[in-house]
Amino acid sequence: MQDRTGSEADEAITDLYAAHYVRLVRLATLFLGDEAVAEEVVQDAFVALHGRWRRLREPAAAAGYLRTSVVHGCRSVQRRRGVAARHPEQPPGYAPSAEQIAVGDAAADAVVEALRGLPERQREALVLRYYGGYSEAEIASAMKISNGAVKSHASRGLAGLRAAMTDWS
Amino acid sequence: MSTPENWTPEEQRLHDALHRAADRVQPGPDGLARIRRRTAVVPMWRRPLVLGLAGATALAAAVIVGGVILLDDGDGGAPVASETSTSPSETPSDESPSTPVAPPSTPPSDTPTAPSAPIGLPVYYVSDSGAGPRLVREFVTVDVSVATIQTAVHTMLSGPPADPDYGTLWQPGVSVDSARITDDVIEVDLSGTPAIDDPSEAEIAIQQLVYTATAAAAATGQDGSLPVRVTIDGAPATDVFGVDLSEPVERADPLEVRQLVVLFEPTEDATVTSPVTVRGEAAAFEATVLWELRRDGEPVDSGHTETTECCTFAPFELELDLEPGSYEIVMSESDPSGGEGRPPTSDSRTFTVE
Repeated sequence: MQDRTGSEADEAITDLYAAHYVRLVRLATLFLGDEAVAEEVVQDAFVALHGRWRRLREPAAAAGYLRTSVVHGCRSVQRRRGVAARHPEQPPGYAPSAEQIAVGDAAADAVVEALRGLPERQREALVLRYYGGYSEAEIASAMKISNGAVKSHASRGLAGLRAAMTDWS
Repeated sequence: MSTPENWTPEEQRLHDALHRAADRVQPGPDGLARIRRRTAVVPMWRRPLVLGLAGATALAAAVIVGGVILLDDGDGGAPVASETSTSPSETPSDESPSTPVAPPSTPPSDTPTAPSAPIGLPVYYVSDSGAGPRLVREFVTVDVSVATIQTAVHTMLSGPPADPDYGTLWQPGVSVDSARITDDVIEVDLSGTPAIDDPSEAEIAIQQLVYTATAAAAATGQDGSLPVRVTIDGAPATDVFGVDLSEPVERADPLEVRQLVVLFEPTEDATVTSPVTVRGEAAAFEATVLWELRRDGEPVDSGHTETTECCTFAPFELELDLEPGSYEIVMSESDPSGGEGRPPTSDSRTFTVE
C-alpha cells in the first residue's frame, strides 16, 4: 500500500511518460548529440518531477517543469563536457550509423551539425521552437529568459544556420 | 510566435530537418521502468531513513557482537553502526549518491530531523562471477525504528545497489506488503508479478530474497536461521519465476550461491587516508586471495594475502601505503586449475586516497 500522494504521482508519471518521454528524449538528443545521455537527462527530469508532485499536481505545470528540467539538465551535461574537454569520451557531434542515413537524411544531418556549432542558447531556442513547437512563453520559461531574449536568440541562430540551409536547398 | 502558416521557407526547412533527424532517435523500451525504479515510494511509516552506507565498520561490529550469530557468514549479530561516520547530526541533508534507497525524489527537507539510532541492515544483490550471478551483500543504514525485514526486502526490490558492479535479478514492479516472523518461519508477502530476464537464474534470485530476509532477521536480533515463506497478495506463491514456492525455502549453501570473494572495505567511491585498509571475506582454495591495485586501469602493484581459514568463508585484511590519488583494488581467487576451470571470481572497488 502506498500513501496517496505517492500513488497519484506514480499515475501522473505514467501518463506524462506516455505523452512526453519520446519527444523530450529527441529534443535532448538534438541539444546534446548523444542519445544515451539524452535519455538519462530526461529520466532525471521525471524522477525530479515525481518528487515535486505534491507541489505541482497539474499536468500542464508538470509538462513545463519537465521541459525546464531537461533544458537545465542538458546545460549541466554541456558544462561537464567543457570541463572534461581534455578527455572526450566520444567524438562530438551527431553520428548516425550508416543504415540510419536515408535519402534526405544527409541534408538533415548537415543542418543538425551546423546547429551544433551555434552558441548553446541559440541552439536551445531553435530546437524548442522548430522541433518542440512550443510557444514563445513556454520557451522563455524553459530557458529561464525573457520572451524578447527568445526572439533574439532564435533570429541570430537562424542567421547562423543560413549557410547550411542554403547548401541543403 | 510564428506558426507554420507564416513560416519562411527557411524556417520550414529547419523544422523538417530537425524532425527528420530527431525521428531517427528511438528511446529504449525500459525508460519508464528505470524511472519507476528510482521513484519507488515507501509509505511514510516504514520509509527507511537513509543515512548512507554503513561501511565495513558495521561489519566489524557485527562480527564482534556476534553472540547471536545464527548464520556462519557474518550476518548475525547486530551490526550497530552508531560509531561510524553516519552520525545523525550530519545525515538529514545527506544527498550523496552513495545509496539512494529512499526515493531520490524526496527532498532533503522532507527527511525526518530526529533520527534515533542508525543500524546497518544487510541487503543482498548479485554480481557476475564470470560463471553466472552470485550473491553479494551491501549494508544500508536505516533508523533503528524502521530496521525490519520488510525494509531490507523493500530495499532489495527497489535498489539500486551502491556498487555499480552489483545488480538485482528482480525486475521492477514487485513490492513487499508485509514481513513477519513466527516461531518457525519468516513470512514475506509480496505484491506484483515477479519477473526475471533469464529463467535459469530463478533459484539464485529466490535466494537473493531468502538471504536478505534471513539476514535482516538476524541483524534485528531475531532468528535468522528460519526458512522463508513467500506469499503473493496473501496467497501461496506457486509460481515465482516458474518455481513453486508454496513451501518455505531455506538458505542455500553459501558456497553454492555467494560470491566467493567479496570486499567490504573500502566502500565504492570512498575517500580514505593512507594507510588504506582493505578488508573482505573469501572462500578460497588454500585460503589464498590475490590482489591487484590499479590506477587508470593499469596495474601498479599486486600480491596475495591469506584468509583466516581455507575453503569456507573467512575474513581477510591487508594494508596498503598509498600516495594520494584514485585507485581501484581488485581481489580475486587464485586459480588452482591454471585456467582450466571456471573463471576465478573477483570483486573490485574504486576509491580515492586523500
